[in-house]
Amino acid sequence: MKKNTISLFGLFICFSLIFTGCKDDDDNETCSCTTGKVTLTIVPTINGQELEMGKVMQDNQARDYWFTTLKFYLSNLKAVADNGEVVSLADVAYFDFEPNQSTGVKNGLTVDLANGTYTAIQYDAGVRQDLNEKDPSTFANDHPLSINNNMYWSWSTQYIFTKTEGFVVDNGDNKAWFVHCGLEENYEANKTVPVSFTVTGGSTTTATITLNLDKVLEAPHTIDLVADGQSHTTDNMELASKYQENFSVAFE
Amino acid sequence: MKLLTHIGLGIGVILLSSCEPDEKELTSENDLPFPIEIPAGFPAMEVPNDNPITRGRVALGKELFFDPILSKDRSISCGSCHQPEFSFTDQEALSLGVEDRIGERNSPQLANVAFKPLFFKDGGIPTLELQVLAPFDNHLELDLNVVDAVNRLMNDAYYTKRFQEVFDENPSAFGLTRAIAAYERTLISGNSRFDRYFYQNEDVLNDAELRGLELFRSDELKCNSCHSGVFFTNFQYENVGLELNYVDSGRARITLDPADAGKFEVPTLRNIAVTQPYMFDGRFETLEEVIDFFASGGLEHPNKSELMQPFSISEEEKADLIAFLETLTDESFLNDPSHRP
Ligand code: HEC
Ligand code: HEC
Repeated sequence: MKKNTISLFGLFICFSLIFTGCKDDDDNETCSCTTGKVTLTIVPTINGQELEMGKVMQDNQARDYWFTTLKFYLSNLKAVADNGEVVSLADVAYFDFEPNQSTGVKNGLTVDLANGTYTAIQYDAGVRQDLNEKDPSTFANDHPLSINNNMYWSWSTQYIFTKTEGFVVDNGDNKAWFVHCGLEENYEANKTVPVSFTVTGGSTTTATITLNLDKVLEAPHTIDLVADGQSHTTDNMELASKYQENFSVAFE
Repeated sequence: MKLLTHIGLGIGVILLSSCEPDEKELTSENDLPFPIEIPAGFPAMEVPNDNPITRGRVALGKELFFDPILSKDRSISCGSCHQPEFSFTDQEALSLGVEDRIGERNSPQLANVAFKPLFFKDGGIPTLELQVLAPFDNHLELDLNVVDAVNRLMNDAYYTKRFQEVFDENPSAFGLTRAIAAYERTLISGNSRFDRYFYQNEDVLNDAELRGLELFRSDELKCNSCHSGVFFTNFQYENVGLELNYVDSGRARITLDPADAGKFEVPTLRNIAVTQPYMFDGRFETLEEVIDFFASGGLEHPNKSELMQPFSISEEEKADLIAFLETLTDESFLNDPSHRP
């Protein structure tokens, strides 16, 4: 009996050794690993200040306005290396900047990446059509496409790509604005944002991208949240399309 | 030696368990297939791989379907708008529509819903499982976000136990949608007098009913150009000219194509005598009003089907046509105790 206990213990040690690999060597400069990690973080800003939910800011017409919700999907996230090589980071990623909720703020993702210097991130704004057609109740709770994220329209079946909501002050009244944008025709593919970072073996580096929310109201389309600030996509396709197009190029 | 065998066995178990993770033993009553009888003339039923129709799923789905726990104020269930005795309709003209949607709609029957290619009068939902999600977010229906509904079930000792028994896991959106959809697939209605006449060759229709059937199929009335086949629908979307300007644009809300404005799914006519009021907005109280409408040929909407042409019909013929439509009522389905809570 004793003998066996000892040999089992030995086995355990062997396994532990085999399985740890370079994981335990994170942040160890001497690691000879060929991959590291990158944490891609998105920081939404208004007037150069980081977005705070509920904090009063000025919109493109100098009116007071604020956000209560900012959630979105990006698909086909890729990193562009300085040698021109393009490496996939994620099929789809979910971002949510609303604190005080069970799912918590999701402002980024951490993925493995080969060592090297990278110069840009490529992405599509929205949920790629093959994923958009999936049943949200089949994903695990921590999957970006989980139904728990409340980003699914049951009636016309498919995901809300970008969900933004808030209030804008119009002649002293707080007016709700919201844009819930989805549908394949509003999928904005092949966008690139320059950002440089270097991945070194076994360690985690960060890459930070700004989402310029001022631009979402300004370019290429001008959006007036008081005059036309409500869309669930099919009931106001024009606003949804403009918003998603602006949003897709507001990363910098 | 004995010890070695034990270790050997242990390793065997480890190997096996890594190949078949958490496979539940197939001994439970819950996992047995629910007996489904497909009536004569019906096509085979397509069942998604992730939702076999098991006894456990059907029983749990039925409980959920009739349980007001799924509505925000615990006042209504799916079964409030879909009542078995009316072929799973209610008697209201309008059950309020789904959030984000302009307009309100009449609640449709669920008989033979398993055989439909798409769901909703505009075809906006591709599967029965996904359909289950729709009433939740609707402020005018259950008004309880599905995530909150699942949390409510998780906090309910009875449902936690039931989901464990059936799905081997705590309540989830997956289990909720699967169970209700499995129950809905058992709602099969193919035992009307018409079925006995047509598919079983029984001599059960009287002269008036047979004359009504002839009218239904006649070149003049053309009812069966749209209400065709074993389900009395070709599952197409048609504009019949109820309005010159539809507030509820129907199929166009999904396709966003103006050529689809005012098109609604051709509904089944099975059990039609008990599903009044009629049309997408419940505007007609009686079958007679519906027939009068079809006889008028409808209003000249640009998308109106070419099959919609005025015809003349005598009072006697109308009575015959209605007598025929009444042969489509399946009493055994409407009274089936197994569909009820
Ligand atoms: C307040 C009334 C109401 C409640 C509650 C309700 N429904 Fe419905 N149901 C409707 C209406 C109205 C429609 C038609 C919607 C449309 O076509 O746009 C419908 C459509 C459906 C359909 C599609 C039928 C077809 O022919 O395409 C199914 C299936 C269905 N409901 C099942 C359910 C289930 C399951 C629940 C509970 C989770 C439920 N309903 C709760 C009113 C209701
Ligand atoms: C051009 C195709 C077409 C033809 C021809 C047609 N129908 Fe219909 N019928 C429809 C559509 C589409 C609807 C649903 C309209 C709506 O939801 O507003 C409908 C609805 C009905 C309804 C109400 C069903 C319900 O559940 O509300 C009845 C009853 C009916 N038709 C009977 C007939 C009869 C009888 C004839 C022949 C005189 C006929 N139809 C001819 C397409 C057709």
